Amino acid sequence: MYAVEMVNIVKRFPGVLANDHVTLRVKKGSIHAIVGENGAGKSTLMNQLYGLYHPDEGEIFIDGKKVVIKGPRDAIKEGIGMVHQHFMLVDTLTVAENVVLGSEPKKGLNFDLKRARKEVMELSEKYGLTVDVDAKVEDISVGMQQRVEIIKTLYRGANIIILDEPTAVLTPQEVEELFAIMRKLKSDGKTILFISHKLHEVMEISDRVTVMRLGKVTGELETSQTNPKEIARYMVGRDVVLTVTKEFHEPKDTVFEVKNLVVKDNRGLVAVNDVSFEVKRGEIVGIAGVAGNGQTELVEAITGLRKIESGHMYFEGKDVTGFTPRQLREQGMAHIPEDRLKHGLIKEFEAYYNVILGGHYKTLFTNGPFLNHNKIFEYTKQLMEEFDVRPRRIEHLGGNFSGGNQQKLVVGREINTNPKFLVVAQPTRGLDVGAIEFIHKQILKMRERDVGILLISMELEEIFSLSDRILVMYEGEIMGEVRPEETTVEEVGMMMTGHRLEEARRG
Amino acid sequence: MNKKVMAILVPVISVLIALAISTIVIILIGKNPIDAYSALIRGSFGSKQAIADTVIKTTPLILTGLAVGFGFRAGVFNIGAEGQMVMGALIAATFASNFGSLPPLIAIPLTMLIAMLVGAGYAAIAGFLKAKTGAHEVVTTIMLNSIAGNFASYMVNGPLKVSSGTPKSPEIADSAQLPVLMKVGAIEMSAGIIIAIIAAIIMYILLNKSTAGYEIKAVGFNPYAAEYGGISVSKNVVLAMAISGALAGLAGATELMGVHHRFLGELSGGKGFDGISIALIGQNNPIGIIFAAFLIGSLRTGSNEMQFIGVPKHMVMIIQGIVIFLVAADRIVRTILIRKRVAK
Amino acid sequence: MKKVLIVLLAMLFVVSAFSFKAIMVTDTGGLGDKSFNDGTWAGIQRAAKELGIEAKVIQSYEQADYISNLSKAAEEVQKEPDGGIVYAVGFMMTDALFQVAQQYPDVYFAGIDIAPPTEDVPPNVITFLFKEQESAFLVGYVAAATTRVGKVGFIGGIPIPPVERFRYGFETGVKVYNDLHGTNVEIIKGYTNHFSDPKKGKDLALAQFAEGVDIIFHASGACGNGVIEAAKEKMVSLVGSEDMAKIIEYAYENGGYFAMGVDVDQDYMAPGVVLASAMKGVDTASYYGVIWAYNGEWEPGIHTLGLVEEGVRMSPMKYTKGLVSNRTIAELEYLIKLIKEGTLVIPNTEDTLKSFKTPKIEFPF
Repeated sequence: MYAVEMVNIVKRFPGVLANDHVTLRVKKGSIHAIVGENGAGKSTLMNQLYGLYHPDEGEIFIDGKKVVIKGPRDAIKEGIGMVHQHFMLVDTLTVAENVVLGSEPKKGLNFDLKRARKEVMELSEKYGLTVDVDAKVEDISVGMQQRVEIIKTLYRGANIIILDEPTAVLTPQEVEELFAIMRKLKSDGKTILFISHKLHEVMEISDRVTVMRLGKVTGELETSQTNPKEIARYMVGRDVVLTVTKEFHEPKDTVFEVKNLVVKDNRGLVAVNDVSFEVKRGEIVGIAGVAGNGQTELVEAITGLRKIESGHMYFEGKDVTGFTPRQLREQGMAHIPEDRLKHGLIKEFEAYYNVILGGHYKTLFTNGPFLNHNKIFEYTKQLMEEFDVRPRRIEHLGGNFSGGNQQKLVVGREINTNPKFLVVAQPTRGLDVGAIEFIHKQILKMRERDVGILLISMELEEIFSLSDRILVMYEGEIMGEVRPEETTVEEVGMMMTGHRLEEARRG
Repeated sequence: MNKKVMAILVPVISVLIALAISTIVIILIGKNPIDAYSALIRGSFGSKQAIADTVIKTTPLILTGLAVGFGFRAGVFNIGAEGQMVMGALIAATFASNFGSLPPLIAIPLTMLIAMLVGAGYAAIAGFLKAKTGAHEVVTTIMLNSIAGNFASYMVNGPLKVSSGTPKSPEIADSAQLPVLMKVGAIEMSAGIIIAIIAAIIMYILLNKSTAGYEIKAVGFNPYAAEYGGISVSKNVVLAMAISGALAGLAGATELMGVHHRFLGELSGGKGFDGISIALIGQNNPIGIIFAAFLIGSLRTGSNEMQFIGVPKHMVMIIQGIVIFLVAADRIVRTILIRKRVAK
Repeated sequence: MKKVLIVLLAMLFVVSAFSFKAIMVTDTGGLGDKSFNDGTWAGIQRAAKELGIEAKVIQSYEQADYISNLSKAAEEVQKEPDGGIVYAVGFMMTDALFQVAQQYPDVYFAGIDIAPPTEDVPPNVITFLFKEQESAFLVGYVAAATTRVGKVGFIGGIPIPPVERFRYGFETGVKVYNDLHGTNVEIIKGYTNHFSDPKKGKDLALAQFAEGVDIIFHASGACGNGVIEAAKEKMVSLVGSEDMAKIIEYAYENGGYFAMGVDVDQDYMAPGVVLASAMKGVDTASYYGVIWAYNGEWEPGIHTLGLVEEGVRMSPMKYTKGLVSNRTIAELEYLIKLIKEGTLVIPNTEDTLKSFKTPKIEFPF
């Protein structure tokens, strides 16, 4: 018995065949993963199931019955709920109010808040969806906002729940909590469609996997009978190096050093507390830690974006404490920021303006007080070629590139400055397998060119496979330093939750 | 649809919709819309005098539009163009009444420069407060407007006052007055319009061709990314406010040197605020702003003629209001345009 | 009755043979100010109706419009076979009026509240000035007689001569009352520097009330609507009702907060709260200007209208007469007589105000 059957779905957009005779069958009461690179057509397919788009050809069956879904209202009526990547919550309303918004319980003509709270609490307890019903949405964590979205679908009677890249915004713990919830929903007979491109997550949680590539289904696999390598092959159409193999490379002298660094966060609380470390030329130092333990503030302080309360920074032995971002860049620092849409790119700028950001005033791009557009265009073309940025249109706006291509632009721009020291934060967040591989290769290439690299990542896998040394941060302090070949994920995990290295070793 | 085509289409369609709505209003108040619009056109283009009037009205509007539009590009909302215009004109008038011994070739640029510097300095106060203390420029520039207005009123009723009649400063020296391009009856159309158009071209080059313009736009679009790219946000906020203020000061200068030849108590007449609407209609594009200013200028001149056939002056404000509403809510217009395209 | 009919018929006859136009150009205050522009327009309309001619109004958006609107009006009038008259309303239009009038010597121009900047007035121009100080003197006297706290306020618009003349008169009125009655009523003064922003008037009025005055006289055009509103709000919150009878009853017993109006009878705007208005016969002036131009009884130059010419007066205090003692009213009558005779001259400049000494006045009662 299938809960969802989408048969021979065809969806065309101007110039693009987004879904090319796609057939998807999802068993009732299962967790079904849909994986694929960005732009493979996963979201388009799901949006047709939820009624946001209408298929040009093909049929949809829910519980064996043919349906035509004209809009989300119809989808909800059929028992389909969707949690989007970007949450659709009203910040200033409470959790309970958000859940019932649009289908509020009434007492006469009045909104029955008491009943709303009670119903939300019942759902919350039943599925372990811990939420604070009376908190305003703006005050709760991203993880809790996601749970609110899930409760919303349940409140509207969903039996089929679509989760569009739900883990992209979550911390590792929150991912575990989400998976527990998904299992509980499954045991209650709900059907879950799980969109992702993180293969280990797919392996952990799903029963079946549908792989998409360029609008077509390339594989349909039983999770228990496959492995990440096989899925990746279906995704990109060739073999992918999943674990990075890095050559041994002898680090040289120290290029960058921080001593007793103290930095405060936006609320004025100490976020980085007495941190010291050094990075050598040709070495990758990884900083591991759960999000929100001071990594963001550390990166901002190092790159000149945040005030340093006390302590010192040295670049090639020179004291650069309190230097502006431009001064640090002139020393030879480059920075791939953790939030490419906030810091890395200007969405409204064309690609050619984005790739000169930071170096825009240099003679390479200027002609007296004016920009030399010919040179800029030429430079952009080369960079897009070299880093395989698609589409290869230099006048494409920054905000219109896909996530992976935006990151390639940023990475290309920073690497092209020929830095001596590179700060890399969350370089592969939200990217698909192909793009991740590309970016990892670029980082390793920099290491071979004797660039000192500081890598900050929430992905332990990434930290382990790239770093020469790993520092673990917890509540603004360094818990210890380990080498990837001499430690285990468990040991680092212990440190990430606040145990010093010695304690972790003792177990 | 092409982005550039959209940028032109949205304001044009907004104007057409506005005219359609006003037609209904004109019918409702019992007037003939054809008569009303022909009066409007006659009033703004129908005679030499009408054309001169339209140009005179358009000139300061271009400049205040540029002032506000430039600020928008840098992400600052300069509501203070009014005050900067007043201060620029007032101080320039004080100096320029003593420029009798200077030849026009020096007196004219010098007077303009004084007005621009004063406008720039006055606006930079708000920019500086924003950069250093985070005080929002909307609040500070409104306050600075008040100060400028009252100060100017005090000056023309006190220290600067000359003879009886309208409160006014002494006349500026002949050599500091802009040359007259066309004279019809008591109406003199000065070379101010040329200055305004040159200012628009310079602003276009600055924004689109220069490194400084690149930095200002980066700060306007995304201050975080700008800072990350080594662009000082506070420096550029102050700079953008100063340039914006200089343009407003120049608007004061053209009114002073080309129209009134002295400072009058009501010289600014709300043109600083009109700049906001014009920047919006012109989509902050210097060339678009010229057209927007011309539109509002000709509507205003035409409206005086419309009053003769009994259509109140408020009709033009209605048209202007609808245009601004539609341009500001350009998503509505865009949606209509896109819907149509899809339907085809 | 018969006579009137014949006159009217004769007029109609004349009208059909005569094509004449009156156009008024407002200042930026525009119609709807409930004082100056509205008053002038009423006078022109009255004349136009009696003569059966066409009257039009152009409202100015900004100061830069004055020249072009006056020019437009003149062009329009020139088209009429028998010409017409153009009205420039308001002191702020002084310069524009004389600039334009020179360009159109065959068009009649009239200015309200306008003093020619030079000695020689072109033959096609008449201007009307008012002895504002005389009507303001009367309300000043009433204010001094009525205040319970010994402190009254003055709010001016832009300190232009007509506004200042209102102030001189008001100050003189208070001074004369003080001298005759041995009281020591003080005056607080302020300006809104604006004529068309009621908000500014209200803010300033509330500030003056907070400083302890209980009566404010305003000469600030449309800003005054705010002054009156401020007084009304304060009064209503004291009385706890908007009912006029209750307000007057309360005021009679305990005093309260009052405003005094200007230009036209503004007493009706807040009955019981507007104590009196210093009226200026802009309507009379505009009425006569049209009639003179129409009949060719044109006497170019300045026409200054005072109490004698019935160009200014105090409002009849329709609602508030009961708040002022009979003695005060009798005193006012006597003072009006002295002014009309020329025995009492109210200062109309800063200098004459400073040197003003209350003459020896003995009421015959």
